[in-house]
Amino acid sequence: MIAAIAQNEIRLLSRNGVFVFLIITMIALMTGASALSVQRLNTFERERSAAELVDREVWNNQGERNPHAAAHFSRYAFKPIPGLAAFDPGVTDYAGLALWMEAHHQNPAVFRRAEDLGDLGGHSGLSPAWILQYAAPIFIFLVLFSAVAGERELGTQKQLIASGVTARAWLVGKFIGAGFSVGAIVLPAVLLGYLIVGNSDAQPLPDTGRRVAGLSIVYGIYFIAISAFSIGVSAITRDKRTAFTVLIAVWAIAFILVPRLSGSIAGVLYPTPESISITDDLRDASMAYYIDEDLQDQLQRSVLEEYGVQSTDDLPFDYSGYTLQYSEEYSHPLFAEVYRGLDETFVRQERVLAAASILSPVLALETLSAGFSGTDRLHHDSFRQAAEERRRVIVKQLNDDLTQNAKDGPYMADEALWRQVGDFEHQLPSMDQFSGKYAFSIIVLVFYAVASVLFGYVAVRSSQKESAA
Amino acid sequence: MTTAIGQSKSVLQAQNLTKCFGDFVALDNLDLEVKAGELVCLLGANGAGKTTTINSFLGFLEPTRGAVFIDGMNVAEHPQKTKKTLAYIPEQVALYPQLSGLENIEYFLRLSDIKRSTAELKEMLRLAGLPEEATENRVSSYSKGMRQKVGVAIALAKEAKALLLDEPLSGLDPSAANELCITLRGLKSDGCAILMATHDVFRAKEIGTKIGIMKSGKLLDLLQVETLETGELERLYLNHMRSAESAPQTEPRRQNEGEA
Repeated sequence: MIAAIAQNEIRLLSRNGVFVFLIITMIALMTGASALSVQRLNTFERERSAAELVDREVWNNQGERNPHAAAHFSRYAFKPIPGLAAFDPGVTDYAGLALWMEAHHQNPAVFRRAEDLGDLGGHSGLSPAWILQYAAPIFIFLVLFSAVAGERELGTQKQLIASGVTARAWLVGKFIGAGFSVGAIVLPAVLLGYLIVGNSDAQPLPDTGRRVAGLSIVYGIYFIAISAFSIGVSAITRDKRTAFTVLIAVWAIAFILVPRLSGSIAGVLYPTPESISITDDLRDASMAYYIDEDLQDQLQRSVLEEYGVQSTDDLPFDYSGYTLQYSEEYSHPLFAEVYRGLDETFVRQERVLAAASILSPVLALETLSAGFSGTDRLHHDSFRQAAEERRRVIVKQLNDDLTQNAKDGPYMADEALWRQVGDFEHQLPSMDQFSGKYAFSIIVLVFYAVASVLFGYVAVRSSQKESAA
Repeated sequence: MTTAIGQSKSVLQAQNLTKCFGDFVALDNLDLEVKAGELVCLLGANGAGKTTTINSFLGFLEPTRGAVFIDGMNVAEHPQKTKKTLAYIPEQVALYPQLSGLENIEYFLRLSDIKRSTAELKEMLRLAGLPEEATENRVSSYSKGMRQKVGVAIALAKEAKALLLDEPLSGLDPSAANELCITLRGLKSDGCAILMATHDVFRAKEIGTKIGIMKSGKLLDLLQVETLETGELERLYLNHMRSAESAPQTEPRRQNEGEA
């Protein structure tokens, strides 16, 4: 019986002109968005390769120079962008793509693509993920709003009940039909997108297979929730028109209003510090040693005492180089403090969004989608931390060279040292590193799916009773 | 628990059936049976309880008191099983307009786990009176009469033991109504138990085995058609409709009593 219902659903859908139009529209949207995303990613990859080459050439060929001056000249850490960013760019356009690993400064990432978009900024949101998160639900609503209400209006629901069709069989049959419709709307588009995204020049993540599986599962759960909810609304509303109106209203509230409002509320409750203020804090941290004369005296005394000499000139190394490294290390916890404050703000903002995801499951999906795609804040932070570690290594390498070689007067290092400073290489992290960070979003999404299926069942059952009466 | 009806060949049976909607009594202690090969017509004004009776057999409504049986099975206890043995034709036969008559019949039969070849299904549609050239046209282009014929074809193909019809003649042109009556006679003679709610006294007399007159949820009379004298049914019906009291003043005249 279930197979008969499901097959009939599929047959009816295939004869529905609106449904065919929606499939074509979805394929067009996904093709366009995937192509744009891949083109953007490939452009970035080309620019990154070119910039890395230039950075390496400029670094190696800077000529003879004081190592500390070279540490200020320094190098860039370029953020590797995972191939899945073509599917869901997450914070990629806003978080910066390169980081200047300068002595004394833990700089934030720069070259934010969003800054370059100007008036075209609005188009940066058109990604395959955005289409699946925001456009696909309304497509599903358009197909399923009449799933039960239409049959009730037509009178076929009563005829089906008279034929012995139970609420459970009908719901399952409808659900399989809905699965077909969602699959028909989404799958060709996703496969096409996958082909396009798979041909990008971007770097694969170490666990791309698991991530793609994870994305498939969370999007699958999302579409189950949306489909079951649509069927439920169609079952409890008086007629097709009311079902359509209710679903459009739900879309406007849950998919437009709540996400935007929650983002604004998060920003008002926990405002992100202005960039200039962070730069000031970082500069203060970098100068902390140099403005503290007592600390400088104390360091000098302890070093002289340690080496049993009266003057820094008597030390077996260059004291200025030593203090440069000391000041660098002195700033490390202060930098960490600045970034901890910033991170706490982001975490608080994310908590507001997580709470709002209880009202709008698309927020939970956004979090998971960017997480599985390796493009969320957590993944960006892993790059930032890796770049900072690399910066510390480079600066120490240069300061140590200065400390060892500059005791007898002005010292200039050459290409031999510059070549010892290797390129920044960052392996994109695996999902294991963040296990547990996405638990709440997964719970919210699963809750929505289970609640929607239950709602669908209860609504169809009650509709069966009402229709029969 | 299945309640056996004993040796009687009642296919449809209502025992002390009462259905209340809040304070409103839609059916009041109704006793009715339709045997194989019988066509019982229920006459009565709107709200008399005809559709409620049919809906009770369909399992759409749960009896407040009493019980309904189909082929010896209590409908409340075997809702799915009993539905497999009956066919239902409402005033407006609801079909899927995007599907052809052939596809509709094929689908409704599959729901009852009945598989028939396309040729068999076409034959059923032909027997029901649907023009052959229309079988593969979409139902959206069908007239009401043609839809009724698809409904009848479903009943034929299902080989239903019982057929329930709710005002099937309303809105049909005389020719279509006549064709439907011929088909119903055929089904009756094939041993199908038919219960039909109608306002059409003349058609009821023409095709019915028995005629029940209902008012305010009560079965006032159950008349054997073959024993009716000329004009007797019309007179009785009008008398009942005109009477101020909703309840019968005397015991119902059961011409079929003792025949089972």
